[in-house]
Amino acid sequence: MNTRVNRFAFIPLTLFVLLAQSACAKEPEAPTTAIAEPVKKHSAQAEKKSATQQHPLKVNFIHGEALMVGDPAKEGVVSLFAMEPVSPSVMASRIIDILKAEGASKAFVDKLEPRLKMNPRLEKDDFSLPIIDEEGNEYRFEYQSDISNRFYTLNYYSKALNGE
Amino acid sequence: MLQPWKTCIYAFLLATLATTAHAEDCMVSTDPPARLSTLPDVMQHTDKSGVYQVTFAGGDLILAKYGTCELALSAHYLLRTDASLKNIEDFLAAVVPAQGQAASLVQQLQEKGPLSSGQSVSLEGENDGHLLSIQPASSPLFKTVVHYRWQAPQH
Repeated sequence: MNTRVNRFAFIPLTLFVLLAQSACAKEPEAPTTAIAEPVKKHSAQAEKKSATQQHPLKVNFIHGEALMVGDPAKEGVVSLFAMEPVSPSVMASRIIDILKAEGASKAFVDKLEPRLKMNPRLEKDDFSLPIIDEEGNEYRFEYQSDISNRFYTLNYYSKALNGE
Repeated sequence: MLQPWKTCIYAFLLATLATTAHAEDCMVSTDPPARLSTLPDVMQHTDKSGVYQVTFAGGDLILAKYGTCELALSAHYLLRTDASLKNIEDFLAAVVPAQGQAASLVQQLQEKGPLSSGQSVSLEGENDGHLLSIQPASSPLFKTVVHYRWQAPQH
């Protein structure tokens, strides 16, 4: 019996997953159900225990006045700080910039960009947005607006999925 | 016709006058909070026309915004640890626009007692106001954030 699986079958599957997410459909692969949850601060709190080492962080401005910060000792976590709210289009560009900086494939990012600009979640003051690429890598973005202090934070978390 | 070098000089002068005339439309501006770069342990700072940023060797950082054509200043001090009293006082003294007021504002802060996370305090200068707020950091890379906002003098 020929058991060879066509690799490209995963592309439509991944696109289906992305579409299914926007319709809030339940997906057998567990991580994608995380989108139904409201933004929770406890994931940031859990990471705080290891945020006590004293060493310089990697810092650079992107897209005008947004400051992108990463910790060389902590792979796969990036925070982007801004002092103004932005349009969904600018938010999408910032998400794309982070994905590119974190090694997502160009082909995937180019396909994602127009779809992302239209995602209504990016209009919110607070949102949680998981993204899955063709290889099954999950990138999670969480946005929080502290409107009274005029401080806006976009956090990025990456993790590779196990299995298919 | 003018010789090319003369044309060049006149064009340069016109451009300079035009810029100066435009700058005069901007009646007020806020100086960048440069004293922040004199805080202990500063590794690097950047001034980008309205945005000021400082990074510390230990990983802390400050991101600030100042008005290039208005009276406005806000700064956000992100710490990898809890904010100590000294952290907050040094930050306040370095960020307030009028250096001469720093000592009395720090004293006012001390009189209000220890600031805990989730708390805000309002300080009064001679003719301006200063807001400080301490929160848990919104990023997993930091533990605490101290927000500062200047309330400029009313016209």
